[in-house]
Amino acid sequence: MQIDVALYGGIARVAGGKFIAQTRVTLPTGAVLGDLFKKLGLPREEIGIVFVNAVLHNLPGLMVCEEDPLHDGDHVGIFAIDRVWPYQYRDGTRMSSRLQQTIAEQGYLRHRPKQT
Amino acid sequence: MTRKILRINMTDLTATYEDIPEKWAKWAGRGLTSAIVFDEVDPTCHPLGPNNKLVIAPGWVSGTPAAPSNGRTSFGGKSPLTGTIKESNAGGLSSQKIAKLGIAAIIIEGQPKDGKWYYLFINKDGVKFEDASDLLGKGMEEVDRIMWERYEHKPAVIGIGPVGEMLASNAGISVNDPENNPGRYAGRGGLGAVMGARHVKAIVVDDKGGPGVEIKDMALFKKGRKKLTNAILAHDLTKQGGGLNAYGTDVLMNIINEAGGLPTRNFSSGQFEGAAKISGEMIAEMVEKRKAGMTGHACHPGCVIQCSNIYPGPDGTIIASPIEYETAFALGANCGIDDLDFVAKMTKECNDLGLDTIEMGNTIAVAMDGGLLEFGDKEGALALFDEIRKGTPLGRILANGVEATARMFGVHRVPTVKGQSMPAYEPRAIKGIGFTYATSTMGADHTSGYTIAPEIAGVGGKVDPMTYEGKADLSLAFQATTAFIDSSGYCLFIAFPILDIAEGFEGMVESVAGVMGWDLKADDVVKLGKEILKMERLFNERAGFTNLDDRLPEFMRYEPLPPHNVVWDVPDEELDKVYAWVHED
Repeated sequence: MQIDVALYGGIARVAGGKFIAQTRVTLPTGAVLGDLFKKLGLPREEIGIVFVNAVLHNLPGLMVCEEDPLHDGDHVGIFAIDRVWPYQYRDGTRMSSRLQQTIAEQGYLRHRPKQT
Repeated sequence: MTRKILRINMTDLTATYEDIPEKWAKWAGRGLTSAIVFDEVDPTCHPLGPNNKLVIAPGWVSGTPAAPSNGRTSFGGKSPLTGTIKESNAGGLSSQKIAKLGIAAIIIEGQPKDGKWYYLFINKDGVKFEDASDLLGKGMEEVDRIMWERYEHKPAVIGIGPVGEMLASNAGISVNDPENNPGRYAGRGGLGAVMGARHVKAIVVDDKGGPGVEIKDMALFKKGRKKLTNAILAHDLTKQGGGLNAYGTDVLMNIINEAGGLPTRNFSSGQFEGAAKISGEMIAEMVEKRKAGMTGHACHPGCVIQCSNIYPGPDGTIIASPIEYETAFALGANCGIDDLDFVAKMTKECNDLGLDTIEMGNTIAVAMDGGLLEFGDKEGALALFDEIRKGTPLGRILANGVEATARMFGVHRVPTVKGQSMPAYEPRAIKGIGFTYATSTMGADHTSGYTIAPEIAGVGGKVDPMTYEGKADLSLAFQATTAFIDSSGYCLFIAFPILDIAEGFEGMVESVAGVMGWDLKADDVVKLGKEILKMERLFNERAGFTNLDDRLPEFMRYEPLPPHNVVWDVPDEELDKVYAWVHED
């Protein structure tokens, strides 16, 4: 399946960009986000905000999205871990059920730059 | 040395220095502008008439030695755009210079009997009323240049462009930056028209020889200053080379677009296919490629965040400073324009003419929706500024903002609250910001409810994203703490590090306490903030506003926003909880 990927920040380098890179990745059917990160050669500790088709799947420091499934034609946006998204500008954003559950349990008002 | 109130009467052409009365003595910045407007402006007055006032106030720490990012000036009055009380603040040179002259606030009242226009020169010796007839019709670029030629010591220049002279409701107040560009704006709410109605074209402030800012407890101030500075320099968003320093506020463009929350083509969609081309990353790329301009620019002396930028054209000449996220959204995505050079050219026009870029971009978008231009017509959009400059009937309509333009073009998709148009976060997709837009005393305002010290609101680091439970209390707490920071003179962006680094918050409180000689605790931050909000809310009520004005526009309740296809469905009762306490005391 074909996945359309946009990379923002220092991680754009894995697709030949300095600030932003856009690329297309071929993955086997049934692949998950973790497979995409590996295929791109993205160091886990550098991955921050992650979107799949405008749905938020990860925030810096959580890395809860690696098992989330992908489908043919998905668009994935991945931001470097130092990208901060202030709470007042993301409160109420649509997010994956796994991320929603994590935030309900752990909270996420504050930016957490280190992966746990 | 005690701070003074400088009262400038444009009817009598007098300037008097008054002792600051006890009821205002604790206030500065937004707290002081709102207290003065609350006490002295009739909420039912016409904003352009003789009974409105323009109040200008630096914050508690403005002008203090080495306090980081302390250069914000608050401007207050009754807004011609909204009819509510308004506080709009700007960076640039004015805050520190006014504070160093020992002035707590400048109150400008009355209107010249002779109908003439003036500019004011303020220094340690007092105030001069100067003939401004040679400045009329001039844009702020030329006014700033003239003032730096006319006066020594690189003064602050507060001014209005031709739009303010027109008394148009989208007139902003310009403040010059350290390079004497007119790019720092008290943009929102049309206070430039209030200044214009007093027939004041510009205010030049020279602080040389001024008494400086009194600091009651220097040891406490220094302790707080150090903690706050360390926090700012440590945080991913505010540190040197961090998100704001490297990419400016436009670092948010790609995030909000990926989230489906970027208002596009007059709030008809939440994603824009050209977002990356007008993002902060693209600004950085252009600066690098064109070997001109800069990111990491400081809008006032002593700013350690330095989130501003200077944007170069293809030939390396500077087009405009700055391009903010709000500007790039309004003049870019919301108009369907993906050309950063054109966004920069329109920014330059706004800065020179004296227009708020958010309201102007949204106005063009509404006009496009009404058929004046096609979405994406960048040349056509740029040409509209000539209409404004010439003061043609079309230009005057556009200069009066979104609601005036929507009415003229028969547009129902009007993205305003209390008359002010929405900034760069679509509330149907990012519902939390909708709480702020709806309930803020200022109209649709994205800077009213920053996330600060959630412990004070009793929520710690946890907020359940799946319910509205507690959202109203949280919104109130954040609006109150934001009002406190708006009174401090600090740039609101210190809110980012002080949220995540507890010592930073302590430092902010200690530095204010040190200047004022207070014993200030964390809880006092919300208490003081709530006092400010209460004054503002009561003013608005007396001006005729009710909870029915704390609502988002109708179209957002039934028009699904792609890509999520969501509507605004937050119950009105939840919004009404935010200010339910105002009459309880």
